[in-house]
Amino acid sequence: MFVYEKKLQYPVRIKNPNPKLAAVIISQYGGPDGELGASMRYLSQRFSMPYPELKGLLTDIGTEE
Amino acid sequence: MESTTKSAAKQSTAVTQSAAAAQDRCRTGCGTLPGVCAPMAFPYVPMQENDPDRFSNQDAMRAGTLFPGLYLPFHKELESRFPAENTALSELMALDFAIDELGLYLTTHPDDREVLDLYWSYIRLGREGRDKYQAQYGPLMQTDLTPGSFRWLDDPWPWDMGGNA
Repeated sequence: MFVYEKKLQYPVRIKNPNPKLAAVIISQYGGPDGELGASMRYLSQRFSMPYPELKGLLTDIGTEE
Repeated sequence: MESTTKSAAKQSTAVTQSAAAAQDRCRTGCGTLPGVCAPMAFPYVPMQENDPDRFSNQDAMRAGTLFPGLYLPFHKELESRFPAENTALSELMALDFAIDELGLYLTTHPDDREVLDLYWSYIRLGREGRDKYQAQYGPLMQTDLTPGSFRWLDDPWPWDMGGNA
């Protein structure tokens, strides 16, 4: 289960707004080959992982993504 | 002068007739499908009032909603398969579920003072419950302190046999 915290892990400061670049970056976040899809793959694969250390690792990576 | 008036009257009759024809097409009729001018659907959006009725936390988790007014029992047979009540984990799950539900409710009803007070009282209860649970069963979050050793990796995980009751 996940908890949303109203803060960023790393600060964001945009000096020069660039919508085209923003569109590319945001597709890496939620697009077809983005972090979101990768995250769900890690979190799904951990269900068949037999080793506790690797259950933890897949959970960590899936959570981070 | 007279003929102009007559033709104007004719025109106005024609307008009235075509308007009547259009209205006829738009009538809902006697149990037939609505006419061409009728809307496709009548949306009905029920509004949740302030301080609505609530299930107990355990019943809420079983029903999938805290609010009887939103309960649609599509999966009645699933209710019997739910984990046993009164374990420390199921108490905490039910409490956290009620907190999630109240949080969602407050997003759309931020001025409901009574529910806000209930929300905060549940959050306080949840903090105590969490401490008790962790002392007995181990960490719920990776950042929880587990004196002695790092117990985060201990089996069972929530999806393992016995990790969910």
